[in-house]
Amino acid sequence: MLRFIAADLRRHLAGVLAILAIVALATALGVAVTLQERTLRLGSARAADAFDLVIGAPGAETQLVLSSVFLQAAPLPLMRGSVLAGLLADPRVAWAAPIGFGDEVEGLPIVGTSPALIAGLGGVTEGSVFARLDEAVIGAAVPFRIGDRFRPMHGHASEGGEVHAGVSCEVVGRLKPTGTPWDRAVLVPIEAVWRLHAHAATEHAQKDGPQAAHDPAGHDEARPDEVAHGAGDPAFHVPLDPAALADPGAPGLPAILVKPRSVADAYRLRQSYRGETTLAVFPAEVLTRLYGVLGDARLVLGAVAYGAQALVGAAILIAILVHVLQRRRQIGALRAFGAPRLAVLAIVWGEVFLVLGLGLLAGIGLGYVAAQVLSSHVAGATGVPMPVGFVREDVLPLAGLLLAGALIALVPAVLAYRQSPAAALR
Amino acid sequence: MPVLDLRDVEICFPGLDRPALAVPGLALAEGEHAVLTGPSGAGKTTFLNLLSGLERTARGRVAWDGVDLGALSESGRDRWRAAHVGLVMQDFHLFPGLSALENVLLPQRLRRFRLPVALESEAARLLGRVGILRTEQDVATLSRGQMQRVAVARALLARPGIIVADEPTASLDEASGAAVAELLTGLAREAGATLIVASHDPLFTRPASRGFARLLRLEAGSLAED
Repeated sequence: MLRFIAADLRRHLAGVLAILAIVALATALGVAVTLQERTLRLGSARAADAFDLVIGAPGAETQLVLSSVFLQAAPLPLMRGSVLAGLLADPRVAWAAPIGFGDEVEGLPIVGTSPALIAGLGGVTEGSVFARLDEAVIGAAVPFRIGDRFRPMHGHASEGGEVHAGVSCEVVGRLKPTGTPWDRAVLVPIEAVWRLHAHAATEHAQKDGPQAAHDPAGHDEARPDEVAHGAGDPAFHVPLDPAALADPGAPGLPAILVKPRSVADAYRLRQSYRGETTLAVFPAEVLTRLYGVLGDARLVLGAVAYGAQALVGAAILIAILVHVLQRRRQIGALRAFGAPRLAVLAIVWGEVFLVLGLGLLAGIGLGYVAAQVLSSHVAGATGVPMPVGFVREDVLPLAGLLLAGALIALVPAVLAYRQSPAAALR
Repeated sequence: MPVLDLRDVEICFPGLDRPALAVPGLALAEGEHAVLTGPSGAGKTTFLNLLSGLERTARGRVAWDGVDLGALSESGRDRWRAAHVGLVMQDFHLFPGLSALENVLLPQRLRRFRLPVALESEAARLLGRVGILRTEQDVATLSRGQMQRVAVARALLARPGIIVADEPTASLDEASGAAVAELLTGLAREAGATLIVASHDPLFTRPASRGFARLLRLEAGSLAED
């Protein structure tokens, strides 16, 4: 029987391969949508794990989380510098670290922060934490070496940024891998960012008038009295001053990461920093809301995928029926020569199910590969590792799909079973 | 004692006022040979289908060896046919992609879980007997005469008591046709099987080559005997 099926499949190899490919692609579409949505959700949730509480100026919560946790830079309104001073002095806070962004180097975001954040993210695996304004710590995935020097680019290269004249930083340490976009970040002391931008702002102001001092990340509040004379120049070759952070008169900040001492503290902190001048969010909470949107998108995409699968199923059913009708004489002859009806049923069913089943399995593999490729692109673009994987709950729908294939295969099989051998031979 | 007992058979198709086939009676003895002839459209194939249990008649009775085919279910008739009837058809109905040997064995292979070794050697013997020596050759690459000889070997594999052939030589050239005709009658005689051949071919109908076979003539649905 298997030889007979194999001989028939070989004879119609081109058609069989076409059907196999169509089934595989339709299946892959559904599998990829499911896997990709899960991957985005898991990847972003893991990335947000390290960040308990983020405080920023009142505005869009989602943007605050995207900018601080996922380092998707966008203009954020600034808080007064005194907020950080208050948090550092707060007994409910284990540590608090400023985040300032807007610069980049070779496409990697430069984040201004404090040693507390580096310790909070797990410390360095190589070298040491920055101790001077012209030193930097790189994320685990940054392709620099300890000892490398770079010149920060103001704004983003894609938006026509420019190199900060004369400033050059030295890489002194590498951050432990965190599995977050921070692995692709270059961390520098926040004071250096303040100084750089104050410097750039005055330079622009002198050159182009006050409008040009606008800074995409919103550092224009940097105080002019902090202006040093560029760097590479000795002004940046000075040790960090911890007191600068705790200074209530420090420049404004777009975001502060806070590690509360306890869960209760986290809720109390969020309570007390939700007000006129600040906004406190749990990134996990914001993400949950985003997942709701993502889930809706998945539903729509899923419906499209299932619709495509249903259409493919119908088209293939027709193709198979045509094939079985073309084989009526052959099937009639089998019966006439004494093959039992059940053998005929089994042959047709087996042959159709073999093709559909192989197509489904190939589609599952293909969908997995597609999700992998897509995720590695997303991971490359965002720095968020994207774990693609099947879970136990996937077994049921996939088994359902196979079962549907088995049932579809039954249609032509029953047709062949019911066919009278004499009518087929006439 | 006749093995075939056919009585009062009438087949009607809707829309025709005369029955397509009306045979008051026919008896064949065991091992008897009969040639069925008549113009096309006379109902030869329908008649053969009745005899081999491929079709069933609403009126009348077709019984072989006391088994009334009309009383058997569809599957029952399949089973009976597999055990008792060897079929040879004009278009061979071999399955391309399978070898000559596999084609001979296919109907029996589909009937059971494991093919007895004896059947396989019998298939090889029959193929040798009909002159097919390369039994592993794909049937699609055989000549038409060779194809029909494979079909003859297939018809004989289960040692049927009845061999039914529908225009077995009609699509063959003269030499191949003669070889097939000779094989059919010769093998049927060797096996002691009852042979019924529907044919126009003088190879079967000519008195000289017909031998002892009865000549049945079917015209406009009614049977006459020369």
